[in-house]
Amino acid sequence: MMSCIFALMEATSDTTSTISYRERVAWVSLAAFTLPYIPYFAWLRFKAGPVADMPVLQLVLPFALAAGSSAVLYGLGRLWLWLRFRDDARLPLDERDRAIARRSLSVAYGILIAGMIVVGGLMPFSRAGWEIVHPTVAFILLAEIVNHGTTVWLYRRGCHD
Amino acid sequence: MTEAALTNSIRTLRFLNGEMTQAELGQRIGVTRQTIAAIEAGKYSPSLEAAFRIADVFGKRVDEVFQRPTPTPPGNAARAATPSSDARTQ
Repeated sequence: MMSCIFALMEATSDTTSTISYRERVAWVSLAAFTLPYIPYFAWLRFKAGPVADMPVLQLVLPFALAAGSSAVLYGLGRLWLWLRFRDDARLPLDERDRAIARRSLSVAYGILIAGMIVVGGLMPFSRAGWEIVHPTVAFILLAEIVNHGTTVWLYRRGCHD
Repeated sequence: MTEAALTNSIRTLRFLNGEMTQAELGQRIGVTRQTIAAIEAGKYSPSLEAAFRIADVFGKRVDEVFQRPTPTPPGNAARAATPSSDARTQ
């Protein structure tokens, strides 16, 4: 995935690239939401043990680390894009950008609603505390990842609204 | 995802209009160069308004710029679905 991202970033110069600035932003967002949180949730699932028995600090610190890494990655990525593609960054969204954003958001919204039904409507009957917090965070992240992933997909494969 | 429904002659028309660049065309109709590239490649079907603006830039009608590959008139499709309808009405 990283090689794909770098290929997209480095692929072409400003004047000949067919890659929209918004697509580059979507790649950065996708990386920022995916790379730090996958190790966090993998650790939570396979290494951490039962979350109910863990002290709060032991749960919050790794999450803070993942969230901080995500924010730094996103910030650096956006800064780099702005420095490198400053002219494209100033252009307003056009109708293709808006159509793609609309479709991506509608897909992600479905995921978010389904997730909130699960964690807010079903899980409280069988779970409590951190056992609900983590799936909630996971569904929010999943919705974000689907949003940016769909955006990238539609820019790459085409959008015919 | 719906399949690409339109083909177009934008690339040819740009060439015939003084080798107009994608950036110039995009600027004239209010979209980015990348969107013009996507339209030319059949990756994006523009709005009706954008299609008219593109046609206006080249001084053409919309149907001279954009074409449907295999148009099937609705009447033909309906007739094919009910082959005995003519016989019933006679």
